[in-house]
Amino acid sequence: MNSQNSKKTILVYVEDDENSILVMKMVVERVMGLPTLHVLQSSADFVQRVKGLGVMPDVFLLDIQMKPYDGVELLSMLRKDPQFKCSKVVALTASVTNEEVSLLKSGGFDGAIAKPLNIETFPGLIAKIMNGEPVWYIT
Amino acid sequence: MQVKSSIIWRMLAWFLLLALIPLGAVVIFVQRQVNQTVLDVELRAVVREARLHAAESAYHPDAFEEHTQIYQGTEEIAFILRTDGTYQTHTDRQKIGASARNDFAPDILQSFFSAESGSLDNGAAGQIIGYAAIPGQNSAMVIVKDNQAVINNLNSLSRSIFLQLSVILLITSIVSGVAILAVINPLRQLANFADQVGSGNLDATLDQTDLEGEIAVLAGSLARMTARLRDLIYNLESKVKERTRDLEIAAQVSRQITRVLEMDSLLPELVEKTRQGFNLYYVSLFLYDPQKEELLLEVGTGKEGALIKSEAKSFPISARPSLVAQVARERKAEIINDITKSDIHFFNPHLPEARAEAAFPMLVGDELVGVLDLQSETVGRFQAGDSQIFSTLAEQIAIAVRNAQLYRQQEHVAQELERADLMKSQFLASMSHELRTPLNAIINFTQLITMGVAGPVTDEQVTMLNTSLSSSRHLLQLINDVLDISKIQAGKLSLYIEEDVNLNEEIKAAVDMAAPLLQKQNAELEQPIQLIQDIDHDLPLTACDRRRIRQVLLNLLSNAIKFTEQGSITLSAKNKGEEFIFAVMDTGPGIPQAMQARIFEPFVQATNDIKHTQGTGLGLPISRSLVQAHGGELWVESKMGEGTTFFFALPYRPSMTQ
Repeated sequence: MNSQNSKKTILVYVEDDENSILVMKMVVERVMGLPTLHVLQSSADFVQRVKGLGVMPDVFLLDIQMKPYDGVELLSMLRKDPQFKCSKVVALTASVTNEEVSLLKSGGFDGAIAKPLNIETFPGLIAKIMNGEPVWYIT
Repeated sequence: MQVKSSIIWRMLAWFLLLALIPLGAVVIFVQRQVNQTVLDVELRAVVREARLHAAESAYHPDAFEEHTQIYQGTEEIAFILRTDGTYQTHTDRQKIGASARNDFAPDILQSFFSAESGSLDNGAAGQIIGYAAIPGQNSAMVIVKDNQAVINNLNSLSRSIFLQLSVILLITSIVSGVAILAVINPLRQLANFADQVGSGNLDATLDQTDLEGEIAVLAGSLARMTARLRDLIYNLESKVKERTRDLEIAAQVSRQITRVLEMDSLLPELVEKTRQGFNLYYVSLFLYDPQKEELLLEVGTGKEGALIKSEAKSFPISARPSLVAQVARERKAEIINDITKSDIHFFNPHLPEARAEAAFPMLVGDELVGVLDLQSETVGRFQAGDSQIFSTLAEQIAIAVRNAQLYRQQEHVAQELERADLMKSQFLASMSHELRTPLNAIINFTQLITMGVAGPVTDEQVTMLNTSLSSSRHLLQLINDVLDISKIQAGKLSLYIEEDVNLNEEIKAAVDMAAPLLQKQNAELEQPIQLIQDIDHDLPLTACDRRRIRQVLLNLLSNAIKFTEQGSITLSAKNKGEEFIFAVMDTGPGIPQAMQARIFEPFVQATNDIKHTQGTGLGLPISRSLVQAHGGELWVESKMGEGTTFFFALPYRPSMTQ
């Protein structure tokens, strides 16, 4: 997690729950030692606002239960834009139902990570995703 | 059956054959008799002639010349023969003096002198000969006649008789044949006609123009009989047709009503179908409210129906005079075939053409559902046969209405249930989200603090934070279990089946996840308990929901760890071909027999021991449901004081593509 690769990783987190944002910021910036976590607290004007960040995200972490667009809708917006064709998109979900998992898989996510985060394993999962391995760490 | 004309001709041929043979025989016999008789007569005549000429010649020597002139130019000859055999005289003058031996055989010549007179039949020469001695002279008078001509005459006569008789016979035959035909032909016609009628062609016609006498009478009777038969049958047929049509309409309406359960769409269609099908003026349905003992028009056909319904008020079953109320009261059909003669018919100004009315109770068993009311523009429209059909129809409608009413109630209940179910699902979904989000924050922040992210923490603080963390995780597990059990109870549990799951990997993952629990347990024990693994290597890849299988294994392992304080825990997994058998065996206290079934019920635990009631009480029922959802089974075997083994069988499902 302290490798050269990970340090360069640019993460964008789309989440409306403040506590979750705070946890993720501490995990990314303090535990993983990455410079910054880019956060979007609403899914409105999503693509425009991502572009407004002025960075090329390596990994999008999308909360599934977002408003006005949910994670699945955000994914399809990203997939339609050729600018983000190299970006990985991972779903963060609190519900662990099978229907959702299959929906996320068929929807074209590169992986899904269950909430609450397991802080000990999370950095390893991000590294896996950066290596192009699908990650379905649901439980 | 056809009377064939060839029979007549055969009869005629037989008749001719049988008649002509005896006729021929008779003619031949008669001819013979006649021939004989004629011969006798001729023979006597020729003797008489010979004697006459002999007598004359005896007295008048020239008599011969005179008398024999009559023979000149005929086939007959006459001569006087001397005893020396020469002709004294002869009608053929050239023969006078010549010897007769050239003309006659010697025995014949001799016989001329053998008697005074006589005759002989010289059949060989076709002659008859008469002779007579001339008295006083040594000579004999001989007359020879050509018998052939006579015989020929006779033969031609008999031929002509035979011919005439034959002709007469033939004519008679033909005449009688024609007469027979004249009788038989009409009979044949009659037979054909009867035959056609017999085989069911009642439209067959009989041409009576050429018939006379008794045959004509017979033909007339037959034709009249057929006509009556035809009338009867056609009448019957049209009656049957009418009934069949009625029944078909009733059946159609019945079919309709069993299909449609929605009363609002059912009833208008029903009355309209009935009105059209039975060609009625107006059809309406009154429904009965047993609580209020009132009747109310539910639906009527056409614009009139809508109009009347808009003005309709419910009326008590005791209302008088009212046909509908009466039928409802007495539960018995009533027909008014002429409304002008009835005092219970209610004249409705919207139905000016009504002339006859019939009302039928709609009963389900003994229970009155309503009344079916029919009105017609025709006096005398409702007959006994109709009554049966309409009564049946009314019963069918009653059943349909009852079904629709029940359906309506049922639907209402179903809607309520659906709403409650939806609310429950929504509640669970929101509970899931609302409870987890703060819990997630608690867990994650506690974890971060424990890790020293927010600054240094003491060992004591770490212990406390870990307790807080495990309690939070327990709470989260409880929430997840409650969600699972809710889904199972609602029948909404669905598996996420993946092909080619490596069970050895899933077992390892479950063991890894259970390991911290075991460590924690062992930390408190003097003699650490062992986790023994007896697992078939290379379990074949199978289709299953691997997260759920892992969940079941983890649940069984954590139960075993929780309840075992000495000895060991053995996890085994065996490939049994059709299925995999998993077993988690512990050396814990065991489960009493009485509890063994109950532990699979939600929120039941085998002990009330505080230390052991850390679980949610939902793990086993959830695990069993998950295994069952895979088509497998989960069960327990236990002996008090010895330990408990939980088994589960998981069906082997190889990949389709292999």
